[in-house]
Amino acid sequence: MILTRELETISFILIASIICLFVVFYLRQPKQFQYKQVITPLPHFISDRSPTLIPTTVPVASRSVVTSWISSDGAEKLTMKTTQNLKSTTYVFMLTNISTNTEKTLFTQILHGESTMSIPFNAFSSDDSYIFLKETLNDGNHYLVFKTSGEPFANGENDLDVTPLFIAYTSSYTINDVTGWASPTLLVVNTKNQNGSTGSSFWFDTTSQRFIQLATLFE
Amino acid sequence: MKKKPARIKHPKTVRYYFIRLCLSITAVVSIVTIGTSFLPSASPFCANSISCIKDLSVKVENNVKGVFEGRTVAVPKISLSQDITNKAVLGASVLTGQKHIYVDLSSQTLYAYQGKTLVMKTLISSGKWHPTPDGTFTIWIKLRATRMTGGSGADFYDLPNVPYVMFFANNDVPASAGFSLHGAYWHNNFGHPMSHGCINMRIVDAQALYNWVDPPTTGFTTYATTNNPGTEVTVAGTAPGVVTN
Repeated sequence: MILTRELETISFILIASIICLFVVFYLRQPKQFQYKQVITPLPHFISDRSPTLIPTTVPVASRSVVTSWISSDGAEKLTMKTTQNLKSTTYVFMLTNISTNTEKTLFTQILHGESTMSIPFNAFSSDDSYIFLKETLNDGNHYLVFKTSGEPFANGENDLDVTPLFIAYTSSYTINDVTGWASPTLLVVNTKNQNGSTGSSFWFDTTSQRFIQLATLFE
Repeated sequence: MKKKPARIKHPKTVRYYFIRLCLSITAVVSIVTIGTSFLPSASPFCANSISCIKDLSVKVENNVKGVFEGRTVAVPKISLSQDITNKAVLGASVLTGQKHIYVDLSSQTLYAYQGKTLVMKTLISSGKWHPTPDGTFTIWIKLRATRMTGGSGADFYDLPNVPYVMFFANNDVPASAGFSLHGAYWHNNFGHPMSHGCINMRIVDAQALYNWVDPPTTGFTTYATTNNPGTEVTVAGTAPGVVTN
């Protein structure tokens, strides 16, 4: 009888200990931060603002405008000098190294009619090795990639036009926008399907000049 | 044949149960004490598991590589000895009024106001792989640079020398969650969600904001205090293409 009681006692304490061990173990598990979205309003004066940001533009003469844009790390400055002529517009792109204050001309383009060129917000690759520019022509947008060193690409060209390369790569999608750089060499290309709905996102690898279709959308 | 002796039944008294209850309580208290005091503590989850809570001193690691989106990333060098802090940016020296940062996730745009004056407006990248929480927060610590790591599998990231880090928190999103505003050198796709919950900025923008926000920078690590509270950050809207919990 004494033995039975001792067994009861030990079992009781063991069960309590096991439950307690479980509780301690559970309490010491890392707590994943669970974010529950709440509706936080922005003040009216914020909500009404246009989100559009453009590089700084300064008129320098009656028919010339200089637009400049500094790279994310502040090391390089890209300048676009736009000169309006009678029937055309001349765009001259210059690159300035901020620390050495050395400037070089990267690219000159003469466009006619409604065609324009612009510096995208994310023009510089994350290590400043490349830049891309947006060119709007009659047949749509073109995205031109340059090496900031001024060196030509493997095909001997000074720039890569992403649009015809993408058309040659696939007919399932058309480029909707080229937004920026996912890494020093990967340009983010967003597309749309033939029916106009949102298509896949791609990376354009500037080193291999190949497109990589992504599983996730970079909206 | 020998007859078995009859069992003597001892009734289970209140004393019997009391003794066993005391023994059980002693065992439970011992286990809890040992478990909470001597076992190594588990790491809390946070947006940036190295920098959050564990190591809140400035951390500069030159000549190392980072990892982002499964690719090796060159890490820009930081020289603290040559670090020049220009505290006069964003017109802070001439403006007066409450400082407030607004982040509109829908347009991926950050606005910094001093009083009613807009001192900065720029594109940011909020959470893509983990949503950036919305609400009104306060900056509680500023770090000139630190290492951030987290994620798993293809989304694993390990990024030394993350520059100009401004951690923010509130009662709903604790400091240990590790959300911050900071510069990003591993991508240049601002205006689109690209982070694991933090708010990524161009380095030049992050630097200007870091030097402008309260608490005023006193070193490479600056805590907000009662006398020097941090600037409020309001995050609102819904980021494009990001599914919230």
